[in-house]
Amino acid sequence: MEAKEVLLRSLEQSRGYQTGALDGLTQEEAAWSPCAECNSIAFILWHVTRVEDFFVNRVIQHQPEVYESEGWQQKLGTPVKGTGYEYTAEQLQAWTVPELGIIRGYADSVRQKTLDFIGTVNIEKLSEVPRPDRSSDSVGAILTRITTEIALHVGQIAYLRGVQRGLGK
Amino acid sequence: MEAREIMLYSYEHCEGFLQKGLEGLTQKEAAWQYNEECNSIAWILWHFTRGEDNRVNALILHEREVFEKEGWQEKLGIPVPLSDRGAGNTLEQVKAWHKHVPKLELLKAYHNSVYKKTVDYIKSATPEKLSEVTDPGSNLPTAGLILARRLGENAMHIGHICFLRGIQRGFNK
Repeated sequence: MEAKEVLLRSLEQSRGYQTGALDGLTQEEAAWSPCAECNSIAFILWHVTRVEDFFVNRVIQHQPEVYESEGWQQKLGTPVKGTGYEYTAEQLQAWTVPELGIIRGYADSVRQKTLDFIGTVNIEKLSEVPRPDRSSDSVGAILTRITTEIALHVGQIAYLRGVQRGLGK
Repeated sequence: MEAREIMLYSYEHCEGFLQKGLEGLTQKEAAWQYNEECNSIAWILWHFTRGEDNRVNALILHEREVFEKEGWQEKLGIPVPLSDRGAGNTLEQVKAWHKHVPKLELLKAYHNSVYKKTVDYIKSATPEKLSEVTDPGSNLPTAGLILARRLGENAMHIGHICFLRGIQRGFNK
């Protein structure tokens, strides 16, 4: 089993659960959160996609994020800067919820680019350090962290569907 | 970079989130359910650790599960058979489980025992070992495929635990 197969399988697995959790959701369900300080499905999906976009495109490949290059920032109407990481409660409450379909469109576009990139990756590439002036993290380490955190967040999206709809619905 | 490096890093990274999610929790917080159809932190911790114990020890290594070998069934006192690891539990089963929630400290100890074994296994998992067919005929026949799937399941469940802590305690507490 090759290293990159682990990454690809992780992404495939979490994407399967993500699709299952999002299909058929209403906008209201996507925007709902259990408390004022809690993330909604919409926020989690936006955040996790922003992070994937940032790391795969800007950090690793030194190219513009899809958020910018494909005009997703305007389509979503979400902040120009930032990924939602370490948002304060105030920032979370001020965040305007985009249409779920548009967030999913952004997620699909970012994911396609990520898969295309990982497809080109060889062992040497995984060991490369993309920004040695900022961090000693290799491409492999960055991709492992983000695929893991994507799975963590997809779990939360699935849980939030369950909280609203009940067991297995 | 080998597959086992990616897997070990992913596994340890998740463990960091789990430990933060569980740190300082009371028994009440561990047993809390958002509503009766939702899993508690305690249930989730039990369920994914049972799954991991079964996959790594029984399915891949063909050994007895830690749950059985170290007497966790008695220590935790959960009145369900060994084969019930929570997957596909009905609402009635979830309700029955929550009538006797084990002590969080015991659940953590069981988890830590399984964690140590899994770390040792991942460190030893050469590409050849990961390619070994350990569950022939299934859609995940090799050790590598079983382990990779398991790591993803764990991550999603650990995400649940962190979220449930957040609902109860508020932002970043």
